[in-house]
Amino acid sequence: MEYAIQTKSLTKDYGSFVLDSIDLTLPAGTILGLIGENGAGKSTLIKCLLGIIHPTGGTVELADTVGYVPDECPFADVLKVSQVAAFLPGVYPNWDTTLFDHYLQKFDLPTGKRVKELSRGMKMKLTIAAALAHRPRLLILDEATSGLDPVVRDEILDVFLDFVSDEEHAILISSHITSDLEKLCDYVAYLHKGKLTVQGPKDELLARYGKVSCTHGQLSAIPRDILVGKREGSFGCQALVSDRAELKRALPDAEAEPATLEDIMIYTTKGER
Amino acid sequence: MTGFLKRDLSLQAVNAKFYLCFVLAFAGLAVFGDFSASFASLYLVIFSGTSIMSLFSYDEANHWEAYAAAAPNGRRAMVDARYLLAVGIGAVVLLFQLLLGILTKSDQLETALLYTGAFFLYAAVILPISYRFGGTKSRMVMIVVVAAFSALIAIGATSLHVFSDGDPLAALGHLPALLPLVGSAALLISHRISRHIMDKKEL
Repeated sequence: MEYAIQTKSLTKDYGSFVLDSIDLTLPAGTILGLIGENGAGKSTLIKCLLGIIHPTGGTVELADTVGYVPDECPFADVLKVSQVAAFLPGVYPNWDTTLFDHYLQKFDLPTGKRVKELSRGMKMKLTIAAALAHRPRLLILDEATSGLDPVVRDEILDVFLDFVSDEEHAILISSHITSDLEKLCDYVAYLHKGKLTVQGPKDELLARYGKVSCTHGQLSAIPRDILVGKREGSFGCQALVSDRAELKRALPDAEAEPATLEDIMIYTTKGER
Repeated sequence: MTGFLKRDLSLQAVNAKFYLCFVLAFAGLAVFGDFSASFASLYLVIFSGTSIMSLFSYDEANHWEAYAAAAPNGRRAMVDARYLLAVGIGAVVLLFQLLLGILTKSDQLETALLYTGAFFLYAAVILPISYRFGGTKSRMVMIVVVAAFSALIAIGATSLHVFSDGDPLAALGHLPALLPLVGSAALLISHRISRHIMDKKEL
């Protein structure tokens, strides 16, 4: 399969909220970061992909085996890690006990402890170990790194990079922590109010988008089709543009600095046009 | 499916020690004292019913159903496992009551069949309700169901006493023998309903 994920016009209509006609592709061997404000539809999209909720329309094609890491540990608090290790082989046909034990050791997870005795970071490591131990070709993570300290996040991000290194695996990760995604992802998709507003290779997006500090006069001269968002103050303005080269042509005096994913997210969500 | 069954059994085992103490205490009183042998089995049925309900609370607390639905054939496997667990519990109730009959040197076959059948009927009702409404909401629905069941049993028992010339069990005729069969048939139908509910459910 060329793509680990391919959706065409994927739609979920709740009445008050619509995940609107999502066309998303994720090539094998790459990592896609899914960003968006709270309520933008990230979890809805992930649940549609995994069949946890049923789409209203469109199609979903996924790699043959998928590992899922939700935002909360799905294993009952009263169970011991060893009990989780005992039942999971019966849930996943491709379960690799040796690999699971390897991750338990790597993550320093004590098998004798109950899930409720583990810290949030350890619970997340257990969930990630479970997702990786059945050797999926695609890993889907829904806000899995939220609430973890930077050291644990860094450790987990290294595991993800290792997972995709053989070019056969792929990862879709949704997160609010855009700095993690900048470090990790090859592709970025930005969901805003149920619509996929920005999608593409991360490096290309970051090279193309720019943040410019300018005067009110310069702001009004920025072509509307490249202006993503703006902030106006009494001492000057800031704007996010979707094409730095085009800005340079329109306003040779304006100097646009490279934008971050956070800039793209904030200006698209909150910046007035 | 075996993984889901193992998980359910592991969760059952958490409370099993507590339940087992009660059941064994009543069994001991039946063997060595004046207690009715059916009392221990009645407790076993009640505890089993409660512990099956508690599985849905664990599911809800950890969003297990959504996680399981993302596993290969997960929706159906988790339903199948829970029904198999219910059948297993029914078998344990039957064997336990028969064992008590041997130990107390009394005929417990009819009581054993009655309890097993009643447990199957209870599971056949409670499982689809729990899948439909989840662990918390289904408790409210079950209060209504149990109240209706109790009223039916009370009316039935009173009628039996009135019309049975002092031997209510004899008045039941072959019903105790038939009840596990009726319960099994109800479980089969219930299993199909639960599968349908889970196939459609938004988790």
